[in-house]
Amino acid sequence: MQSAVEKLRKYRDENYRLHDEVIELWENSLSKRNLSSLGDEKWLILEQVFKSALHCSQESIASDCLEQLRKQFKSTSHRLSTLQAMYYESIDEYNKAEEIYSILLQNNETDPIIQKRKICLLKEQNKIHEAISELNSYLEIYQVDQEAWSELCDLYLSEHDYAKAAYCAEELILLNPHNHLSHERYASICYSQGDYEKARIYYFSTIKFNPNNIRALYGILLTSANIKSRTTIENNNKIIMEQILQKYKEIIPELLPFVDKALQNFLSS
Amino acid sequence: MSEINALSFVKMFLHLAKYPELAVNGVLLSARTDSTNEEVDSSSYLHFVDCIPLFHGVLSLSPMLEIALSQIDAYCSTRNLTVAGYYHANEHYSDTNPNFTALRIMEKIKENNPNAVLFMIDNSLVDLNESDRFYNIFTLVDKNWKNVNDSHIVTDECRLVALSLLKRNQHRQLVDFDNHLDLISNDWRNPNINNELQSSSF
Repeated sequence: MQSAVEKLRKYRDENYRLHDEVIELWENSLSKRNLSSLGDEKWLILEQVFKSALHCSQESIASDCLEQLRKQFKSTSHRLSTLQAMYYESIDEYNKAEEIYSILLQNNETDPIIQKRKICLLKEQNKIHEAISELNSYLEIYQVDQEAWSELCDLYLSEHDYAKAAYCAEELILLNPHNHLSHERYASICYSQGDYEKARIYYFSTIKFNPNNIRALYGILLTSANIKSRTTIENNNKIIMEQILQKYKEIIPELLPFVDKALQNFLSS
Repeated sequence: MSEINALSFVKMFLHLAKYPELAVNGVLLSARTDSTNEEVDSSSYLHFVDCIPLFHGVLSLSPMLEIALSQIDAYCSTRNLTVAGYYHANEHYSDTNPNFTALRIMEKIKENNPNAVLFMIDNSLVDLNESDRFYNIFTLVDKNWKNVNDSHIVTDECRLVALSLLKRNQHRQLVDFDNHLDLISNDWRNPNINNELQSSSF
């Protein structure tokens, strides 16, 4: 049981997304045991297993955990009410969930977590346009919420609105200027819009922050295949291509022939 | 007419199982026939023998798709295969509509193989409880999708093997092209899944 507890702690602390494994650990090692010896950690574990159960559609495990939490914490507990609403979301009882969120917001208008859960409700009902609209309103207030900008970017991409997605990606770069992932994402959106020059610039800035970002290395070669040929580009291409092939040679030589052929095709077209 | 082998079926299935909360897509490979590829041939027979899972999450960005397809083309030419199918699962549980991305990718695949088909995943069928398959098959004719489920054959073995590998948590081992780009030591050909299949022969 101890190793299960430690694993769950690690997944909680480091934000791992391994819901089916959490359920496995619960069913095999923890559900039939007396967890009182763990003290307060017991409640954190119950909450964690509850959320994973929702992800895995394990309704009975979820309601079992929720019951145990309810016995311990008053039903007026904000955190518990949120979990109850999440349970309703998972069984498609959206109205009941919305009721709870409205009550919670009455007590605390500016609670960002509840506001975001209301946006999730819209997304769950496939009301993407409303979700986008609400998320925009949210971001006018919470301008530095990276998770929200990222979600809005993804929502715009799912609607194929590259221009607005690019705007969100720009905000993410402003919030995280040294993060190679935000540069690479922006570059890929620019490429998808057809702005190859800008994409190239941002693929290069990605490399500056992480020379091993293979997407960016590939991206540089792709952009040059789409931009009118200039000598500086051709010289850069050779260097980048060498870097890519070298990595494959060292790490996974079995794939080298396919990469080599694919890149030759790009650079000769 | 088309048929799918256990390996392709299983890889598609495991990809869905690995990312239940996200949109996913991938391509399916069939044996290359000698007949001319220039026209749609309604009597052509597609035998899907392998599957390459592509991306999860955001499917609408084009650069990495181009990289993936070019490497897969190179791979196909060494094994006498061709990209003949594309599968697409939407993020939302009950959304079974092929979106703009699916349309664009299918059109691109059809440039090389006019007989290519779309495997549109139906999330409600994925538990394989009542159905032998978790998708509907469509051809694309002038931007219109036509359901061709009736001419697609799935053996019982596919379903049994898929559920068996899922039980053995093989979905955690599955590699898609996104995983490969995150860490190139992840092999997008998934040779280990092939081995798992051999060792669980029915």
